[in-house]
Amino acid sequence: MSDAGPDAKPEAKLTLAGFLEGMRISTPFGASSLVYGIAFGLLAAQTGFSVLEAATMSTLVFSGTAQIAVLQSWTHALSLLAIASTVLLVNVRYVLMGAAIRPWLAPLGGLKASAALLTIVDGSYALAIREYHKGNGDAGILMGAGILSWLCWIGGTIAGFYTGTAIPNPKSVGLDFVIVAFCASTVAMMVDHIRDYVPAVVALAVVIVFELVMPGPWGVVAAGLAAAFTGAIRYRAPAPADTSAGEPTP
Amino acid sequence: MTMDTHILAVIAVMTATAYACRLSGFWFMRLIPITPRVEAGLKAIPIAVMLGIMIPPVMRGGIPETVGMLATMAVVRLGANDLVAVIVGMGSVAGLRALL
Repeated sequence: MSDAGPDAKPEAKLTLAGFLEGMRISTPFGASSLVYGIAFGLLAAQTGFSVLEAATMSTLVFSGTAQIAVLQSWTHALSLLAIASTVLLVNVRYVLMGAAIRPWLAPLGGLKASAALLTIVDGSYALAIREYHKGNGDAGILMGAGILSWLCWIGGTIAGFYTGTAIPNPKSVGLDFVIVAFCASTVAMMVDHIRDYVPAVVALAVVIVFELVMPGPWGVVAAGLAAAFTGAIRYRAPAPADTSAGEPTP
Repeated sequence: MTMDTHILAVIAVMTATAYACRLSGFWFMRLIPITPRVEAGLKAIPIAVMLGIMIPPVMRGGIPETVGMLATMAVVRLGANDLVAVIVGMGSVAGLRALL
């Protein structure tokens, strides 16, 4: 893997080797999906779902936070609109991730890009973005990590349905921290590859303010939008003759 | 084994919403010409999303989460394997939680 500078654009591809590499490097994330899948399976059993219903939900929806939120507030009176709103609220960050990933995945064509997008979860996205900034444009990384997490999530759901009471607390082994660790490693890696730090600083401020004032799923969305607008507003077309405008060129 | 029709409807609605979230950003951007300025905006999103995901759990946590985050980043900066960095982060969180 070559060291990519701020303007380097790795070539988009989708390979089996990348897929397997994505699975390999996301093993801790897979373990966390398995354990949270077990917790979801237990919750589903307690809520009165059949194992088929629980496994179908995990297979199709593949969104831990949304599934747990819906089942925790489960009553038959819960309207479909309320359920759709819950899922939308906890997943709206994927809209931003999908928009940001367009310049990378578009060359693969709509079908392959869509298939890769359907497997997106936070951990696989963090991992794929990290690899992309290292110069590896293989969307197989994204899919491999996503599919491993998906299989672990489904397997965990089924296992938890039958044996949920026996699992150790995921917090005692730090499994709740996996997603933070993946994101932290991506951020530490990306610091060398961004030209303009201001959008990231703005995003950090927005995240902290939201967490203090109104904790919940909007913080990440607001941070993403604030960074996008800051980045777009601060963009200066390269002007080799005029060094006083825009950022210093590295 | 049968499936309850209400649960089936719930699964269908959740699936449609989750898929729409995963696909809509990518397809919406098809309508917007990717000028260098738009691309600069898009480029700023990933790190912001990463911060948005990782900072709240650290703020809600305490010393173990803060140390774990910094340890993970330090290991990456030292040039070690990313998987090692993640495992060091998890390990320091688990260890500190057991001690504190």
